[in-house]
Amino acid sequence: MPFTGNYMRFVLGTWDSTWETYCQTNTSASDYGACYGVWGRLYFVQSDTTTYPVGSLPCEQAGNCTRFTTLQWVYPFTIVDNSSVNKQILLYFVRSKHHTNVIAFNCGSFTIGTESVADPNNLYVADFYKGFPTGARLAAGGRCDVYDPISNSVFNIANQTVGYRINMEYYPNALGLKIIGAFYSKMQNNVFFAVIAFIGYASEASPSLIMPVDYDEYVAYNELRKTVGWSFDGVNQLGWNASDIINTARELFPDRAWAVYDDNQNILYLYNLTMDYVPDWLIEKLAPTAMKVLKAPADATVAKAWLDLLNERNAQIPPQAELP
Amino acid sequence: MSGKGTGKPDSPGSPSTSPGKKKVKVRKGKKWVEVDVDGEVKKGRFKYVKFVDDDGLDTYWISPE
Repeated sequence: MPFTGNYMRFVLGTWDSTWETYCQTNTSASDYGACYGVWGRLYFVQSDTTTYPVGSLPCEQAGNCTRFTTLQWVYPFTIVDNSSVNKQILLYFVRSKHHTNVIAFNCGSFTIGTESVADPNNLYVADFYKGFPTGARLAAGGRCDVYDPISNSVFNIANQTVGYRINMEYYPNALGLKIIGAFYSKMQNNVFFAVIAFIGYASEASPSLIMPVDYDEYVAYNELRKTVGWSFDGVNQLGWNASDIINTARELFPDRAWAVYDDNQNILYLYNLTMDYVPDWLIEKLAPTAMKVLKAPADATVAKAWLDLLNERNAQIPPQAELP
Repeated sequence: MSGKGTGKPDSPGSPSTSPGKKKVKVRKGKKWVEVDVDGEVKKGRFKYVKFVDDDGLDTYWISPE
């Protein structure tokens, strides 16, 4: 099971970690819009371009802020474009600097999730924050809680003076994923902020035997039973490497229909099956680069039985394949 | 079997081609390989081309088009 891994750095502005980084947000002050103690740039939100034309703020002229003229909720970014693995190990470190250390004016929350490459509407967000950071919630007491599933505790992202780190392991709800992150900020005018995050991930390739097996069905070989003995949908049984699964399945189930998905090569192997019997939803889920027919079905009822049972266990996923 | 009239043996993963069939190039690993297409199949929002791969198996590869 090969591992792959990477890390990325996500930055919205930077600040000096030792100086008291600060921007003047008092519009009556003579130095309104100036930023001090900045290493790099902060983000300064000021949507009034009539009173304060773009480029007129002192920090813009000094080059130590980036001006936002629109108020946004979400600043999304992509961590990994396509990851066809079942198991993700994520680690992230995030630190932010805001208008004040007490989050009364602006607040950020940070999240990591996944979306399906095939279907961007299939969105999964890891439960890193406790409730959605709505405006009312942020405004109430300046709360901006982020949930740490490892320690089962809640921390305030903006009160961290040394940053915060999360290690977690999770199983996405689909293959063929884009791992995404986002910084959520309360829509507040005349504020400054900066966010920096380091995100590392490791992925383990996990080929699957795709064959619905009943819980009480006899399956020889203890190892195989542990691996593919039963799963809710008949799809997400993880195994060793693809060739081992194919060889074992050939021996144990020579007269059954099954498929093996090699998520390292992105190849779907079909046994006692043809393309006609592979449902569209499975193709959408796996997005295989190729399919190879190990053995065409001598008896179509075997292939149809596989399809019917797979559809039955995944009835929530339309549409189904059209049989010839 | 010689490949593409060059007199050189086919490299692994490069099915031989024959005249008269539609040919497409599919990306296998880091290489583009020309194959004879026996048909096309649409599955979901993906389109696959069918050919016999060098391992002798009926293969459906995601269409480069």
